[in-house]
Amino acid sequence: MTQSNIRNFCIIAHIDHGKSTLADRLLQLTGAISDREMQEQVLDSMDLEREKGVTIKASAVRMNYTAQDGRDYILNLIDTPGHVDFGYEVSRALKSCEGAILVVDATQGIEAQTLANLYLGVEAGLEIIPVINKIDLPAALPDDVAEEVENITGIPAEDAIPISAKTGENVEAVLEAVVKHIPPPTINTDLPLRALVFDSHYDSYKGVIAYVRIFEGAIEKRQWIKMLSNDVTVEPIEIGVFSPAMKPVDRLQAGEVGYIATGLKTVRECRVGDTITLRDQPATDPLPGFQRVKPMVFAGFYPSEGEDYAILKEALEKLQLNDASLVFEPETSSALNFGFRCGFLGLFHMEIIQERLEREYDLDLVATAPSVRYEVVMSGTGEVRIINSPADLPDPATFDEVREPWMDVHIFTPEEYYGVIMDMVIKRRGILIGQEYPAPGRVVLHYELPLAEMIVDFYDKLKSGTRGYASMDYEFKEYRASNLVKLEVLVNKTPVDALAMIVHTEDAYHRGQKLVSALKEKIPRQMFEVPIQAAVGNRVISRANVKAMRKDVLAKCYGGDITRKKKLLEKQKKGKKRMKMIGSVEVPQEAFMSVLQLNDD
Amino acid sequence: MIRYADSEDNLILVAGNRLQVIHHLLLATCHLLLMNSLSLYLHIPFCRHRCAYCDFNTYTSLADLQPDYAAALAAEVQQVAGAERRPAHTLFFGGGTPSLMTPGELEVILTAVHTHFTISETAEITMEANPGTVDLAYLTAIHNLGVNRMSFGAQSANPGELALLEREHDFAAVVTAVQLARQTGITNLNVDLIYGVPGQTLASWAESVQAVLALQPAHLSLYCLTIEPGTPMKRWLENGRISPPDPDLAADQYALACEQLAAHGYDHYEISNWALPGYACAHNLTYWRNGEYLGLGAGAHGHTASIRYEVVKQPRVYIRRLQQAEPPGYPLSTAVAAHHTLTRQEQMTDTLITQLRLLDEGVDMAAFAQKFGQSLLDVYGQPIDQLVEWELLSLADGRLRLTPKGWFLSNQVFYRFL
Repeated sequence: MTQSNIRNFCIIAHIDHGKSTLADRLLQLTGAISDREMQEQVLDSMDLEREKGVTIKASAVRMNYTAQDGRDYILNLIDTPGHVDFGYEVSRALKSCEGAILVVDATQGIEAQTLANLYLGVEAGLEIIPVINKIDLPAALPDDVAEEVENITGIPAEDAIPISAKTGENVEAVLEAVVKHIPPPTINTDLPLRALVFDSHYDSYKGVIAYVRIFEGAIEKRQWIKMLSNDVTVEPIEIGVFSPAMKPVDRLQAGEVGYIATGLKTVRECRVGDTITLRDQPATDPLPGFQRVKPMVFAGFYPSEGEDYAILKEALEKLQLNDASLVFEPETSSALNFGFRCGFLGLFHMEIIQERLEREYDLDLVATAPSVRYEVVMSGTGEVRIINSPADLPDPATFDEVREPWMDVHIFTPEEYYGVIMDMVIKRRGILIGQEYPAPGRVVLHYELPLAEMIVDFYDKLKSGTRGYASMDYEFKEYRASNLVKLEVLVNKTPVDALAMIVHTEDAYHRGQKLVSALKEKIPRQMFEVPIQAAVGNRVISRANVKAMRKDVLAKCYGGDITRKKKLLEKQKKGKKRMKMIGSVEVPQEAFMSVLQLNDD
Repeated sequence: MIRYADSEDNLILVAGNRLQVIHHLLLATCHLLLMNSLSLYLHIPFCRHRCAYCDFNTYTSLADLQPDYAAALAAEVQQVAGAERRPAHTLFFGGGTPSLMTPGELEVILTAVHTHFTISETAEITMEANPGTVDLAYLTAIHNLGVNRMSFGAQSANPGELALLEREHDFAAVVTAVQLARQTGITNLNVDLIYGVPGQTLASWAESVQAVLALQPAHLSLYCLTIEPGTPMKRWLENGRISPPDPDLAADQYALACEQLAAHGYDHYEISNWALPGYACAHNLTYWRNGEYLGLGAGAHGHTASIRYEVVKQPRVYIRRLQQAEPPGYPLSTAVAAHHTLTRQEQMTDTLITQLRLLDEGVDMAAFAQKFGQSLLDVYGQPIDQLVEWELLSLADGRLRLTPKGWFLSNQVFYRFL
């Protein structure tokens, strides 16, 4: 085997543009997996990913390919996560390649995320191969899309490869282009080992499996390794390649992509972006670009049934084994009792974790409205306190300012939605920074927006407001001081910590009113009248009453059918059991999510 | 109703009719003597038309089955009874529309009942009937067969409401039915009304109540409409043809009825039931005292010997099943679909959620303690405290009762005892 036969590449695509289908075809064409084994979208091994149509975890597959020049090649396809929350993971995956296939839907054109990843790819020095997919569809406009690609990337439109991943048409040309245009990795096996971890997963037998790209040196099986960021040393259980199942090998060397089954117990000891070297002949410097990703979005997760607390804790611990960016700490709420304040990379990440907890661990969760991490500068001392939960915001008299995270947001859209998007952004305190017209009729808008304004429903609203045409990418910019206050909710005069929000002063009245009326609908009538109030400081800014219940009765017991009656009562009891107590008021769990439905634009 | 705790004077005072009083004292005595006496429920699953709110076990196109059904019911009576000739003091033909059964068919059933059970002389034998399905000849015939109590589904005196409910009669038919029944000698009459009907107002409800009071029935059942899944009304609600009934209006309607009926001398003895003194429904009292009753006929439910059971619902299946020999043993026939032996916990729950429906009688705490060997407050102290604090329950003279506030919020009470 000569190193020059290796090609390391990834696929950059927007959700639904056919990345997984193309990957499937490549695997089939190269015989990496037989038609019989062919499952739809093999690369997305988690059910949830398949359902959401996105790739959550990267993976890497080795394929053997005999090209038209008659030579045998090893092609390593590194899959990248397709969502904005996983930008850092994407950047590490791109770093591990020499080239990228840019897949663009012939009916849709380029989308914001694709663009963002494309820029990352270009920055990482990747050779880009544009592929126009879905040419079998009647609405396909491959020439126009190729031109758009040329405008954006500078790659001549005639170099774009028109294909249909679905029917397999012209897919072989993609493999040929990979072999021809993507440079082979540069090899230096004499230097000490430096392997980039671009992804990982936890295996209960083999511990953390680090997905690695070897840049320098080599590793033999049974050689002790060392993580450069934290000096953890361990004897790997095995090393190998994905073909696409894990297949042990005796040696991995510079230029190759594979895995190291580390035996480590948590992914936090083996983070994405870290460099692995050998304990006995260590490299001195890590590969550039390692970051510890910080959670941006926080929410309280509480079990519906108090007795499930232990299960929730265990479930979070298990998910954390696989997900270094998930953080959590115990939190107590007067209404929801014992739970965890969890930190996520973004709202999408939060949604995935919540769904996995509910689906894989059969947990019934109450999630509080998500919030961001605030910085509070205390008076006198100038100490900066980090606030992850709105309920923790101190008395305004004790601090000088509150800072909130602002994001750089890029929205890519057909021009006709310019107004809709401007409206949405301005209502959310956004600032237009610039705009570009990369292709006729298409515009890229650059904004600055407070993250807090984006985490609830911004993306959904963007999608619905533009009939699904706009796409978005964002990254953290900086913390900025804002005029923020804590909006509290009192149910039957009792403050509800789980419903507290930090809002801009100007929005407080409006939000308070909406929250009160939403809660009035969600809180069922009780045995007594229940006042619901929204307050800022000691000032009540909105109030509504839930009237006392007057009727809850069953009609006659027909023909002595008590069993049926009891079933109805049992249903009622079960419903009540799921209620949370605020003082003596029974509040359904959905009420704690009402905050999510406040924006009406 | 027969309130055993009440003095005779009280009964005489209110009833005013000496003969009636003697009759009821006799009934009361009988009941006391026959503590082990059963109630028999007989289900007749046929209707000419299914009303818009109805989700009962009834069928509109199986009239041809009636003769076979009567024979099957007679066979079930025999199977269940075995050789014992157990005593029974109430019979209740419910439905469906029991008055669709011919006198001949009823005779088949009643002959079986009398052959295999010991029916007391004073037994209450009720038949439900839709006004408009009975004439003088029919009523005379069934009276001769022993039926001594009729229950008429009037539901409303308002034509618009009757139309919405898809009742196939007008209020004039109710007036006629009541007159004809009395003419044949059946004087113990119940009339049903429904409130909480979409579009119904407090005023139209007051009119229905007045119209029925003018008939001076011995007994009144007022039901709050429950819109059940699978009924046309549920669909109308979902597609917006009707609006959901306002619970506050229903509460006002209930309060109005309580007031009016009390003013006319009716005793509000159960959440949804009122009777002139001495006329409480003995059959339904069995249910509400968590007593023992046999359920016979398709879809019927029974409770005896710590077993609750239900019979198969489909009339054809029911008839076929009763052609099998060798019933499983008392109280189950070959047509039983499911049965369940009650745990002690379930029996306690059942005791509370049935007996609390009796507003004056309530739960006798001494009887509870004697039956279960544990005091009511030991078992349910926590919910009882809470419900007393909310003024939904009251504890007095050894009994636990719903308060007037609790009458219309009784589910809030009951589910806490599950």
